[in-house]
Amino acid sequence: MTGRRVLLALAVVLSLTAWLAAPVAAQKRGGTIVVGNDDDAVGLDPHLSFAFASANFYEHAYTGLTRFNAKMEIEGDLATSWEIPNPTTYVFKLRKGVKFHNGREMTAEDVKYSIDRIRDPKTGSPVRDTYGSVEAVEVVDRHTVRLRLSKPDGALLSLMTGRAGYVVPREEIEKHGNLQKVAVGTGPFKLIEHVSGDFARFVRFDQYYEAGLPYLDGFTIKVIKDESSRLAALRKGTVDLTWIKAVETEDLARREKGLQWSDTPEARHLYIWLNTQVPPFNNVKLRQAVAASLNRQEIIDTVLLGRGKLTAAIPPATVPYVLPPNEIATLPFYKQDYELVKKLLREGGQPNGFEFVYKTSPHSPDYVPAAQVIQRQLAKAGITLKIEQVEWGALLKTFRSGADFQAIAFARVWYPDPEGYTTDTLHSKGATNAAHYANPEVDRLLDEQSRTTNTQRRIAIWHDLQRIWAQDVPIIWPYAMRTRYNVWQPTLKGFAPMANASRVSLRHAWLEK
Amino acid sequence: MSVAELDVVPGVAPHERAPRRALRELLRKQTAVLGLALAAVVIVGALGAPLLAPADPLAMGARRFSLPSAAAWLGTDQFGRDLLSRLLFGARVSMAVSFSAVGLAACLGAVVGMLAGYFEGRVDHLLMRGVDVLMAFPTLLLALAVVATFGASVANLVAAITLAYVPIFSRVVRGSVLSVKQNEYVQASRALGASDARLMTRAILPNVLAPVIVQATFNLSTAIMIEAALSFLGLGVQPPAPSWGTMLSEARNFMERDPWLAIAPGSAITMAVLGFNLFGDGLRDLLDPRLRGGG
Repeated sequence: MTGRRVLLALAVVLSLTAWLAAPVAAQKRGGTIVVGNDDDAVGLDPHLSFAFASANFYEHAYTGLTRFNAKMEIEGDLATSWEIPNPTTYVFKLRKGVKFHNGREMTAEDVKYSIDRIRDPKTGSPVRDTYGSVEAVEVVDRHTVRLRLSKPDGALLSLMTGRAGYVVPREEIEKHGNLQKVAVGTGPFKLIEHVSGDFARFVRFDQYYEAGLPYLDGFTIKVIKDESSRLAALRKGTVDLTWIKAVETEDLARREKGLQWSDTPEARHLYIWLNTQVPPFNNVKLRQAVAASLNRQEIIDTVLLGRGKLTAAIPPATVPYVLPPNEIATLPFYKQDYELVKKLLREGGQPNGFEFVYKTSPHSPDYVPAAQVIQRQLAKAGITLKIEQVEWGALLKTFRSGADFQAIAFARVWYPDPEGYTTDTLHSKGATNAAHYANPEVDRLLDEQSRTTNTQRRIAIWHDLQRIWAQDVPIIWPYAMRTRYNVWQPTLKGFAPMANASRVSLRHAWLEK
Repeated sequence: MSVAELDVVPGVAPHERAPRRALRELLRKQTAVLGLALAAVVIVGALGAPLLAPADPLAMGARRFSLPSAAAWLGTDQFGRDLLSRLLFGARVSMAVSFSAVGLAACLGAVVGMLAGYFEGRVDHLLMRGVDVLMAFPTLLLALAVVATFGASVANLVAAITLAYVPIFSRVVRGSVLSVKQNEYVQASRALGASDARLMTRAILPNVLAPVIVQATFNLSTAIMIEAALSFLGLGVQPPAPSWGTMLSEARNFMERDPWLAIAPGSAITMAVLGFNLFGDGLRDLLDPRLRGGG
């Protein structure tokens, strides 16, 4: 080969490289940012912690076999591919050369250890139900894992995209007892310092397996509890990214020039559990009377300043299982109709109305205002709602203990699959069936959808279930809203918030300064 | 000379001329007059709320977040409720809670303090160590604990504030009793065979009332703040009942957008607290012999 030819070849290669690199060239490496978070983690162990705020921290340090992409489709993460040779067998091929933050290579043994850790009742993991159908986890070779199920499980893959799929190193658990105070995973960022109630500092994990990622050198999550303070910090530039919970503050952020935001779909909805075991709500007519007294649009307009949507049991973000919006509006007892309420009260044996206690907490900014509007709407129908505000921890305790209450209200957040937040609270044997709701038809449908892997069939079942629940009213869902409203500086690029308020896309983010 | 004459005359005599002179002296102090005026505005507002309020404080209207106008003097809140009406009815809640809590605490505290101070010895030790335990808790924390344990309601709120204040009154009364019972007329009554109950109620009590009244006035203002604080936290008066604390807490998220929603209840709390404090200051100056300048 002559020198000219070599030069030509080099030129071609170089220009090709330049062309290939062009879209990447916009992304800059380096720099650190500050993230303002509304709460501190309550324990960092992804398999053990209960609090939503914990996920805001550990999600950067761990990855799992599968994940959702920006379009909310399941894609491989630690698994490069998987096969389902029959409905009760899943075989995952693992990515090679993946390192834990402690430098050790992640293998099939670790995947087995992690799933078995969650399945072990002694661990006490809140996501144990994810693997309810799993009979055994087998290591086929160093980079292949096989799950054997006792029955088909339609929700398994999507539930595994969450923390239940995160792979953890056995030696760290043996060293520390659990991972509540440390974070050693396979994720793009390493936790190097955590000062409780104050901040957590993450730095880039240089041996992260996705080539070139992350772009940032690191970030600090600063705990700023007060809404207005978080917005003020963003305005002052001391924080690069934060989120807002109250629609009122959201209003202010939207008016601010030069801030970036994104409207994620509505994934959070308010639940009002009506205890079907004690009076008055052991009478279905009286539950229906409450539902038919509500003017849901008025609640949305007043409490959420119009920023919410009508919803059934599955909120708008859970495509494809959500009901079409025009059908939600016509579900039974979804329109305010005082004539109908009168009739229902008569049939329910309480023609002059009745009284009940509605427990909630000032924990989130919408809970008590919603209670007041609902109270007013019920009063017009002769139903007396007595608001009882309880401290947040105490409210959750009452809820979990299944104690005697008449109505209890707080919001829940979307999960990758409706099974993740619906079966537990509406199946007669569900772990959080606080309404003590038992409908054999519902149990049958819930069991069936869990067995089937046919998406069309699952959609049909979830639609049917939502119609049944609207009719039975074990729970009232007055509205759906955005989980969090993310706002960030224009200098932060490539960040894309997700419907479940996850900030994992920070691994694709960079600073343009 | 009968016993009755003996223990009534010397005991009460200094106070017989007192009311008129006290009032005159009080009115000479400008800050005390200001305090009395502010407190009077709040009390009149509270008592006259049903007559004075232009609207139903619970009625939700279509006009939300409206600025102060002729229709709604102080504007309307998130739910379209009239702010002025809520403020007036809020004064009712605030006054009812603080007056009944302070009144109850003063009575209970007087009993405890009187027994401890009068009998001294073991009774004193027993009662005062109990009081010490209660005193060890910060007032607000103690009230918070009571409400958090027994649930949020007006009755529990009153009970909580009462419990927090009993120790203060017990101490004030005990101290005064210890000094008053050394007076010669008390000794004389005792020498003439007056019973313990008679000595306590007839001879000693009237002479320990002054510090109790001063203490009560000061505690009224802190009781108003505790009620507001607990309601702010959602542990006091339950919505939709208007309370200044609840109103502040509801307004908090709108502070930047619609500041008057927070300014109105905030000013009301300030006014009531300032009023009772200034008035209490004046009363103390008047009733405390050490500060009376020999007059």
